[in-house]
Amino acid sequence: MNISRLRWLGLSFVVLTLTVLLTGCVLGGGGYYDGGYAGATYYEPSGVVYGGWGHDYHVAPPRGGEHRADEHRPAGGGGHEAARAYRHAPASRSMPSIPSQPRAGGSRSR
Amino acid sequence: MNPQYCSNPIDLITPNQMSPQRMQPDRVRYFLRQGLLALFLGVACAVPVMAAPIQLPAIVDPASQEHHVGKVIFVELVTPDLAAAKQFYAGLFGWTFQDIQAGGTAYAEAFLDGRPVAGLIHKSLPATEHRQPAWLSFFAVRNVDAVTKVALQTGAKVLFEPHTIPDRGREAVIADPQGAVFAVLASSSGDPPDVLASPGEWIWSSLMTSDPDTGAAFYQKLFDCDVFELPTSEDAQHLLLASDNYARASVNTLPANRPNAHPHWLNYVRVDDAVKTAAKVVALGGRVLVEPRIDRHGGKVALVADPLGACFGLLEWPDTESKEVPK
Repeated sequence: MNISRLRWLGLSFVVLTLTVLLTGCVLGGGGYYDGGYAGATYYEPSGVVYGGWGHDYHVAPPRGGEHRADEHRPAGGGGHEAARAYRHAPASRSMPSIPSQPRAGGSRSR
Repeated sequence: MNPQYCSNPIDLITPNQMSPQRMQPDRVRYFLRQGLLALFLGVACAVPVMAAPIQLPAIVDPASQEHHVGKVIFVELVTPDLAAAKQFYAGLFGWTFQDIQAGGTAYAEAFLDGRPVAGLIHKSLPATEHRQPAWLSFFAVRNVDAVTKVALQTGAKVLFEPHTIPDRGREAVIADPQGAVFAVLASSSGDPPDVLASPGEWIWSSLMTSDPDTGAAFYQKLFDCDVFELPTSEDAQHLLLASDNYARASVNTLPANRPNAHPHWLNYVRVDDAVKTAAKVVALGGRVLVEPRIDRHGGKVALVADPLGACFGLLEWPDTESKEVPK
């Protein structure tokens, strides 16, 4: 194999490697996300099923001040609380609601 | 080309000077080399253009110093038909759009009364891919990298590594331990103020999950939020995530009659009349998945999907106290 052929092989290898690497930067990812634009592009798997809410299935925020189902449980564990994976808010705290004050003029926000 | 500046002997020999035996392989090499160089230059030039960071508007303009960790401050929809999506949401909520192009990606910023409300991104979806469009919730955090690390340690998966977007901030996409997907965002312009959403704006978010207990614990660890338990009459939990003494989101047990349902986040737009809006959804080519019904706050809630299948909720929030009582 002469020097010219070796040089060609080397150049081809460098060009192909760079091409693969640079293309990978742009098209890499796949699945739900990719980097085609600087942010995440997200598609859900089609197995997600919506709906099926029963009659008493509630999702909305409370108005605030409602009865808490956990208000008689000691904060930080003990009794039934020991089965909880989360740490419930202290019993002295009342049920919060969403913000109620109207938007003031000025800043634009999402 | 001036021969005295050529270093390669091939360049110094014109085709007429070559012997018939050598001309063919030399020409082939010459054109091969030129072709490879052109390919390399093409890729090298195209990559920066394609990967150029998209310039997105700031979350808050002018920038504020407010931070509300654990609050949903932004939502994005990736859709295979941007024009159809824009037409639907414009017709339903009166949103207007500003088109932004970057790196071959079409992005539309949605506005309501001059305020940005959402981002819509076009991305083709091959029929062979079993995916569907969905609204992605962005939760405010102070430090995306730190939150991502905690999420990983708590059994979550990072689906999109922390990444900075100019003017927007730093974001990452995470699947929680049950598989519900959400994003975290450290907005470089601060977080939106805590005010009541206007009709046509996002007002609420809820997580439907297979294990609300573990789900609430996960988000509590991430956002250091308070967790309240709401009374339920069914064998289902309804938990509340709160921060700054405001309710931020609910955590619900997946409906029992959907055994194959996958944990997911849902976002709700405030509407004046859920019944009329649901009818409008259908007229615009969407679907109603849960008919409007009274919820615990005294207003109606409905679940709908846009013509391309992206699901979202409609939520009435009467300004006065409860007008109706759930039956």
